[in-house]
Amino acid sequence: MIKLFLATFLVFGLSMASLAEQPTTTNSAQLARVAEQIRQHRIDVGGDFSMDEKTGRFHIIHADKMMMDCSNCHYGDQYRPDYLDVSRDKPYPDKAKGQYVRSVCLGCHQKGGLATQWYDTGTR
Amino acid sequence: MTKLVRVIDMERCMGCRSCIAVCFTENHITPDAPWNVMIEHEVGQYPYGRTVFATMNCMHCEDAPCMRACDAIGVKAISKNEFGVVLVDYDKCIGCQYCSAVCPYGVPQYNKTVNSLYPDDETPYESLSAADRHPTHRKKANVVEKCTFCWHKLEKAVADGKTDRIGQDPQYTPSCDLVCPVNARLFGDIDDPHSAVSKYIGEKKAGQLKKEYGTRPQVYYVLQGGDF
Repeated sequence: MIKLFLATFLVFGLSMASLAEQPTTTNSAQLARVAEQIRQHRIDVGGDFSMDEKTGRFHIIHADKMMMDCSNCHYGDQYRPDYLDVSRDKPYPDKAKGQYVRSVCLGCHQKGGLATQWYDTGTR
Repeated sequence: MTKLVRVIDMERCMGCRSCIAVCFTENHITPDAPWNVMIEHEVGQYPYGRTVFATMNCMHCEDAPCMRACDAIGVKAISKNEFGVVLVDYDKCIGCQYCSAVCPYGVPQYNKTVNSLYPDDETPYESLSAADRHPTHRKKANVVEKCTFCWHKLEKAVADGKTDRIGQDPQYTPSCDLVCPVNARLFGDIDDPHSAVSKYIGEKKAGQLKKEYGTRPQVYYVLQGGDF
């Protein structure tokens, strides 16, 4: 009885794991397709080259079309623990709200990434 | 070929900010868009703690992501000349700030408004008319600015046919590299194996920051405590 229960549990667990994996693969492929369509101007992302989060292409592409969450890049209204600045114990400046982690950009904008290449990584 | 580079020795830098002060006067800097900033952080634990100072200006990357981004959207306001100096054309810049977004070093500064360094009045430098200024000093609102390696001085060396004197004669050398009281900064031609910068980079094993981005910066650091 216990063996039957464990076998059922194992089969159920494996099937759930495979289901959970499927959307990730599909998402990557879908995102690559969306990125290519944006480059080919087949998806309208507007003509406002600005960082404006409502009308600017930058946020339309990254947040609306590529469905990146704000927290993927922005780290909120506190300094990160590894922030290298002696003044990190002072209150976080209003002007700096929305600071972002640039290393996130590397994921897609490096050589061979799905986005337009900005960083000449891996060539030397 | 001449490839101009700068070396900053963090082991010597004591954080006096002379380089920043002279940059402000030399390049007519406005408060919102500094071209040269000082980053400082503490390392170690009491009683062995200390502060590490690092001045940051444009890295004038060989594979500049700011220029790639600007070209990709068709603005083409950023260019890199034969001496390796990356410059912004304020007349072409549309202020989109894509260059600021892609720069791993956080260099390009968006100048939303051209404010005075004095709270009530203009400094003598700021009262100069645009016609009397070098094109790199003609401040405009809603454009991006950054360090030019004091291109107005290097340009003079090129015009005078004295590119070999860059980094040696004060009139042909970026001002920040002239005023350092502890000689923590050097500027010159890295393609010349006998130049002071080439020797210093070799002897002190100076390296570039954030190599993982593949930007190949033309500013080298003698690092103290690792990359930052």
